[in-house]
Amino acid sequence: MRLSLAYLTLPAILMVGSAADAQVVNVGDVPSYAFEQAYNTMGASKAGDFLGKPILVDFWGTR
Amino acid sequence: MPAAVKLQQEFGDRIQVILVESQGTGYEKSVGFALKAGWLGNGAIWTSQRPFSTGSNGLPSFALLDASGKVVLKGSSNAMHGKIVDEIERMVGKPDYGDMPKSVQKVYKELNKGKIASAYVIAEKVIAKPGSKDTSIVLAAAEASLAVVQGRFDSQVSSINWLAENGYPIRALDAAKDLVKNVAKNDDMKATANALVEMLEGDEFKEQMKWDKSLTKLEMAMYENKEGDLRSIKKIEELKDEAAGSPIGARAEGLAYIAKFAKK
Repeated sequence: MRLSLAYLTLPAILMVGSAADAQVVNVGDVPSYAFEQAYNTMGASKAGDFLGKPILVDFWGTR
Repeated sequence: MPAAVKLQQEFGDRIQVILVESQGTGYEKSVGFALKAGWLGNGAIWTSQRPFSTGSNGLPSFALLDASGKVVLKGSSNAMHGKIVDEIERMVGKPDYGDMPKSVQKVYKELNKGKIASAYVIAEKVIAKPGSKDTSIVLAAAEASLAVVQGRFDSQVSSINWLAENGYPIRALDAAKDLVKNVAKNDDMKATANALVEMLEGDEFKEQMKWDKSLTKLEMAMYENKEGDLRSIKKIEELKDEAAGSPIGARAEGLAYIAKFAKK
């Protein structure tokens, strides 16, 4: 696990926003994002808040 | 239960799972759906806002990011479940420091144990005496590590303040006490952490601590009973009124609001 952001050569950082204009990310990208409305965030609501541990973003449906 | 929720349960706070409802159901209904199904209460975050797209047409799909926020895997959640588990196990296992100077690796090893001040001290020592071999590389890596350590401390302080301001004073106090232990070797950091403990143990939070204890019990009961047993929800609404105007009141209001969508 890489622990240092600054130590890495970062790939292009993607600025992505709302669902309508959500950009496709690829392996190697470092997406930037923020949630305006999310449950159980405990104060962590943007990409930078989650650094230090792996993040699994799972897209699911209720139907 | 979605496999991702099980992974959150299995790996605990070593990973963060974010579940994104992607069929336009909306925030309240999708969280209510998850509550009704008994999927809440395990640390996973729920939203209906897509942070980005994986480019996959089918659901469920996923993107797995490493500790630096880089996408390391993406695709179909079901078809690639085994690969997801393997990759997470690899990432939360032994860290890969690549070609990082050994003296700087020690900083991250301490930080990984939660020993913030100890990591800070080591980084400062390396900066003061980077050695005669690859000096500029070692110095740059050590300076970067010092910024990461400071960032970890700042982030923990922010997190404790958020918990205190948003109706979780018990968690905030536990985290502040842990922080005091982990920054004992740094006077400035220790003073900040002690001030947080002092604030949370003060009179201002006494009543909130009591409410937090009650609300957390009711919250867990609501999760365990899936649709939320009516008595728990009624008591949450009573607590919302009792704690009105406080962060606990706002937290109770949010829970009661979600519970209504679970019952529909």
